[in-house]
Amino acid sequence: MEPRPLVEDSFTRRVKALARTLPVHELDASKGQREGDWTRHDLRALALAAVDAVIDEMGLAYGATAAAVRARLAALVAAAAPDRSPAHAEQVAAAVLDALLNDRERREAFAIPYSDWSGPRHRRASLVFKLLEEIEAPDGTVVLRATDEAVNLFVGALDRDVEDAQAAAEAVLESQLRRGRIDQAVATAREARLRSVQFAGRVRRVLDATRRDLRQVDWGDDVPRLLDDALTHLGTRLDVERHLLATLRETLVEVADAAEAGTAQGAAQAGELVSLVTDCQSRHLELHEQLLGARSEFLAAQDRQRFAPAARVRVVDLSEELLKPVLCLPAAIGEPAATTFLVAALGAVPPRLVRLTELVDALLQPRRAVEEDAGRDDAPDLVALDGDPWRFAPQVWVAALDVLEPLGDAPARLSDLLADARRDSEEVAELVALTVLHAFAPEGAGELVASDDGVALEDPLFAGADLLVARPTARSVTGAPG
Amino acid sequence: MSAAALDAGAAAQLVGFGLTPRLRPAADPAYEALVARFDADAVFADVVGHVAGGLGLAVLDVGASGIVLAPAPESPFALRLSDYRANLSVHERLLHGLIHLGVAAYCYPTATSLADGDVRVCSVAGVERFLRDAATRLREQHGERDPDADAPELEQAWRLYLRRQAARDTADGRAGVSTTMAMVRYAMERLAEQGMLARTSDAEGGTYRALHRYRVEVRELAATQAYRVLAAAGTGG
Repeated sequence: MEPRPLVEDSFTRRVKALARTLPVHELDASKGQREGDWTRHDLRALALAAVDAVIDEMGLAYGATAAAVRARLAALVAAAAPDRSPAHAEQVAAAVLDALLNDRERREAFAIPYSDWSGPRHRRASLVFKLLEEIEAPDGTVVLRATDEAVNLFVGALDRDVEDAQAAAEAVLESQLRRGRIDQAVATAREARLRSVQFAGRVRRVLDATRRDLRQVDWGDDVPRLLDDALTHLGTRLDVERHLLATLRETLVEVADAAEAGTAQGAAQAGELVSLVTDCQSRHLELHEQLLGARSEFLAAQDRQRFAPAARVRVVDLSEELLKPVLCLPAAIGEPAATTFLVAALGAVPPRLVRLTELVDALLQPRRAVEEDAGRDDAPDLVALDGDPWRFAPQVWVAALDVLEPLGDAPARLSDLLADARRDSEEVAELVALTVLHAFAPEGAGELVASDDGVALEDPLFAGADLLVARPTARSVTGAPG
Repeated sequence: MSAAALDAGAAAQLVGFGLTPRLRPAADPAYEALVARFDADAVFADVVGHVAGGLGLAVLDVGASGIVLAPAPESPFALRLSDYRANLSVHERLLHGLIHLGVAAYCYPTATSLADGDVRVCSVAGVERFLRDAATRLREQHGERDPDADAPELEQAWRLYLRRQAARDTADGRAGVSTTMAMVRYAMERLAEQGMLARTSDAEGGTYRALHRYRVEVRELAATQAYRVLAAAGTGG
């Protein structure tokens, strides 16, 4: 018989749930290291507010942008510390969002080690999860999305099955309504909506993965079951919510009567509850439609991907399998791989062609009449220049002259000069080469003299002869032509 | 006109949209309709694949962010290195390629992050530091031994990278074009032109979001192709 594990499953689940709160605690603990005084700010609460703000906009619609969430947080920060500058509030808001996105680790998932006693032996396991992530909405805006972990963390239902929790929440809601406990009913309805969002996310991810690559998803077994469950579930939920709404509207009438007797707050809350449940219901309905289309989506994906030309290979680890090897390899050997990557990463580039028809049209167009007043007030967009503009910056000249400075009667090779110059930069090398070329065919008398002895120059940038360069003293130049 | 001809026209239009990389389906109803049709109509999707194939393009992905195309090496749509930067020496070509590897590895540190669907962020200074740190670690591993003077072609890439200055101030305030910062900035600007990155701020020398299109292009094409070339180089093939 197998030895009993040291702990029950629920214990491990709770340990993991607890570990998932760590990023938020670490954020709060980092206050001391921040510039300026952050002690007054409850970064834990702000993190929850951020997740809240994200979930509010989530669902089947696009979602909240980082800027919107930052603004919401900044408002909360400003309320907590009205004497601090708006810039400070924005700084705090940005820090909270950065922490939830794990910007410090370049947005990789959090990896929190924890003790796992659920197996035959104790082991240190790593819990990998994200809280928030940014995704592209179809219209190109980038919006935030809370992961299941974050949604769970937020609603506090840390270890429950989505469907059971929702059924339970609604049972609780109904009983609360009967007893007139509107306060708690509003809270429960909010949780119920969050669960709808969470459920929608699960189904959407499966459909996304299917569209991307059929093979990543088990359409033989897992997905059909998920879809069936979801459809059954949604069917009953829609019934329950219809019933709830009916009950609520009745309650609302009753509460309104009570309001006349002096308990006005209850009416407002019941109204809020109605809109919450209506929203929940519409989200369910949208999800329902998505589910009904799922199977045809699968068939379409199957058809399309069967014709996909290239067989997918496993995903390459960029750092370990490409970047590091190329860094270690000699330049000439790694270069083809590196440039292959460059070209492929930039994708398809349409060749830039002159369109003959447009060109002819443009050339044949009559001169446009200039309106009398047009441009009269505009100052000319010109800058006065003292003499010709210089092709090279002054310190490139200084560096190039430094290279040529030691030259005397004894000739030096151009290749050596270029090597010298390259220690500074390619630009300096270019200027040295041009100066030497000028000395070889001088337009006027120069200080330098260059001659060709037939040795070819081997250089990545310049071609020609490896010239001999010298700076003759006054005596030896006397016979030279001016 | 036959239905087949109309289909071919629509398919070519979709491919044309893909060659305008910063255009999004949500911004153009015709584009949006074609993407929806691609999703729903397997025959049409097949025609799109063939039209693209005839132009030397492969369809990598069609979705909410549009159609993502990859050029075959001989396609007129493939970028020529000389169009990226003219007159590059072997060493400079390597550095530019290395920097593109650096941008991708910075955005997607692990194989799993290439398969995710979230938006990553990167900055010019961040990528430059990332590459310099990687090169510096290699120097620590390999020791400070100088390279062979007789065989400069055997000099490892990390040495070349470290030899370049990160930045250099020039009199007119521009960073020198040959510094690694300038090369990273150039790489990111080109990627942004191609709709792979989107600039968000001027912080850190320019901060960008890495978009879906970039991940697809890197995962489906660039990484695999470069890996094959590297493997061939490693075995002397």
